[in-house]
Order: sequence, then structure tokens, then C-alpha cells
Amino acid sequence: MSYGYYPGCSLSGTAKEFDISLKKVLQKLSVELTEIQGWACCGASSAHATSHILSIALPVHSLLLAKEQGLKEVVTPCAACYNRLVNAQHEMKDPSTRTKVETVVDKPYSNGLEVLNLIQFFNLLGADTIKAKVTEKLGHIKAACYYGCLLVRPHDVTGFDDEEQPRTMEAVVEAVGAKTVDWNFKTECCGAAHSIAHTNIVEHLSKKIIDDAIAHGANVIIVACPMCHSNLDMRQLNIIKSFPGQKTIPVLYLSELVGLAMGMSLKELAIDLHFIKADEILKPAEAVTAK
Amino acid sequence: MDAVRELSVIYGMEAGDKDTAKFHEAFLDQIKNFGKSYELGLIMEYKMKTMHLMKDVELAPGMLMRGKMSLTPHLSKERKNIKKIMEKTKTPEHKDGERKGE
Repeated sequence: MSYGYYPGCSLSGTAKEFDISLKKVLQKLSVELTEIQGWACCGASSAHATSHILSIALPVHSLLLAKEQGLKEVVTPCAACYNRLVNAQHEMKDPSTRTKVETVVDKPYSNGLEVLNLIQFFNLLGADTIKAKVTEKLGHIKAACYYGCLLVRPHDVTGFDDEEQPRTMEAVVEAVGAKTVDWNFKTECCGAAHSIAHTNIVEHLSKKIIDDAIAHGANVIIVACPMCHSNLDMRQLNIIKSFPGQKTIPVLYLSELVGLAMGMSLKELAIDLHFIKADEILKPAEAVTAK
Repeated sequence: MDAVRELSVIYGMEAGDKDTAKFHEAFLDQIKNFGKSYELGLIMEYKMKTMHLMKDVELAPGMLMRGKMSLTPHLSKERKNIKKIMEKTKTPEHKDGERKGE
């Protein structure tokens, strides 16, 4: 099996462990990814905050390349890129927008590609397929599945899961044997791209997410978005400094958790690149209790 | 909200939140130059534009040691076309907010 791949810029930088862990897991499942040759940035928040047409033209450019290269489905692990790509497909249904964007990209547009986020992709591969490769017991892991904003909203664009109470990530986490917790902040915003310009806002919002996950008994937060990961993991260092007595919690990509269930090591999955260490909490329950 | 922000860019209005506006400028400059985001370039340009030179410097060693921030940009093979797209969207005929009545 082979699927098109739009990694997005973060997966070769701040979220390289997302790229590494996803590829390791797919290797185990004998699934191949074919990267779109010549893909470019989706424009992220900066494009849609400054130019409507640019915010559509940039994703359309990569979608057209995928189509030219004969790809049918495009896996987009970054939630922000996924959101921009499906948003572009949605906007191109409007004839006036389509005419303007076609002029800008200098190509006629045709749809017919399926853009999949990571959760959709795992669901497409099937819980039974993934379960068949599980070798480790993860029953000691209590995961708070964090979707953030961009996987589920706006619902008429993504058409994915429930925008307030999504459950599809929990289905994957439970399929690999980990437990999930019910909590309140699974679709709250972490502050996203304000991380650089308004760090204090991001810290404030991320602290609320972290605190709610811990309060509901989670020992790990699971994400499928590089921006969310960066804000909850790297920025947790600032939160610890700003709030004495702050409890910490590791933050893993969904692909990393699936990889752990398949018997891969923290190093193999590049979990050791995280700022908040995950090794203690991921030890089997007996080992933690015995310590 | 985006529509109002976009109009403010078209009409050259001064941003109330200058830091965020400078961040967007710096981010888009990386895409224009490389076709992809270049994190180190973005941070350097943002710092020079805002003069927040010391902000987040304590995170830099950890980012670099983990290989989470590359010293050199990753280039898109399509960067020339991306640059054209970005230049075209700057011309008034492709702006969504048309300057009607002017």
C-alpha cells in the first residue's frame, strides 16, 4: 500500500520526531508514503491572516502537484497543514475564488484528492491492522487525547469527528491498549502560532490544558499537531518556571504511542527529543510501583 | 477576523498588534525565499524587526542540540513558482478586498 505524503515544514524541524515515528510505524505496517515532489509551505496562519487568495493558492499549488504525480490520497500529519489543505479544497468550490486562484497558480484546478489527517489515516488502515502489530502492554498509560482547534474545526470544512466531543483519537489509543481519560479541554486552543509573538498567552492557555489533563488523571497528553506539541511540551518549561509547584506531564504524538505499543524504543521513535521526559511514565506499571 | 486583518494589509493600515504583524511578515518572507518555512531565519528576522533580541534565547541551545532547528533552510524545488505566486497575490487585481469607490 502506498499513500501520498505532505509532511509540511515542521516535520523536518521542530516536529521531526513526528515524521520519524510515523515512518517507523508505517514501516511496521508495510505501508509506504510517497512524498509530493516539490511541495511547498501551506502558508499556515500567516497567509490566511494577510491574504485570502494566497492562503488558498499555496495549498492548491501542492495539491495540484500531488494530482499531477498520480496520487489519490494525501496523508497530512500536521493538523495545521491538514486544515489549510482541506480549507483550500472547500474554498475552490466557489467559482469566483477558483478563477482568481487559477490565475495566480497559473494552472487549471481539479479536485479528486483525498486529504487525510493522521487520525483519519490510522482509521483507514484499520484498528485490527494496527492491533495485529501490538506487542507491548500499555494499560498503565492514561492518555488525555488532545485535538486542538485545527483537526475538527470548522466542521463544514473538515467534516471530521465531533467538533466539541471528538472520539476518533481515543479509538486509536484504546486499540493499542492504552487507557483514555474523559476531560474538558480536548478541543481548546493552545495559543498556536502566537507562541513567538505572545508567549504569555500561549503559556496561559497551555497551562489550562495541562492542568485539566492532570486533574482528570492523565499521565500523558496525546497530540496530532506539531504546533500543539511545541506549545504543550517546549513551553511547559516556561510554565514550570512561572508557576512554582506546577506538575509536569509528557506530551506524545499519536504515532509515537502507536510505535511504543509496537515495541519500539523511545530513542527509535525520537521521543528522547522532547523537552518533557517521557521515560518514567512510560515504564510498565510494575516498574513504577516498585521504585 | 481574517477579512478585517487582510483589509488592513491592503490599505496599509498600521497594525495595533505590531509584534504579530511582524511575525507574519517574517514567516511569509521565509516562504517567499525558500518555498518552505525556515525556523531559524524566521526567528532572526522577527527579532530584528521587533528588537526583541533576547526573547526565548534560552530555548535555542535545546532546539539546536535536538536538531529541531536547522542552521540552513530546507528548499522547495518549486520555490521559484512559489515566489511568483506570492508576488501575484500582492497585485491589486488578485486582492480579495477590492478598493471599490477609490
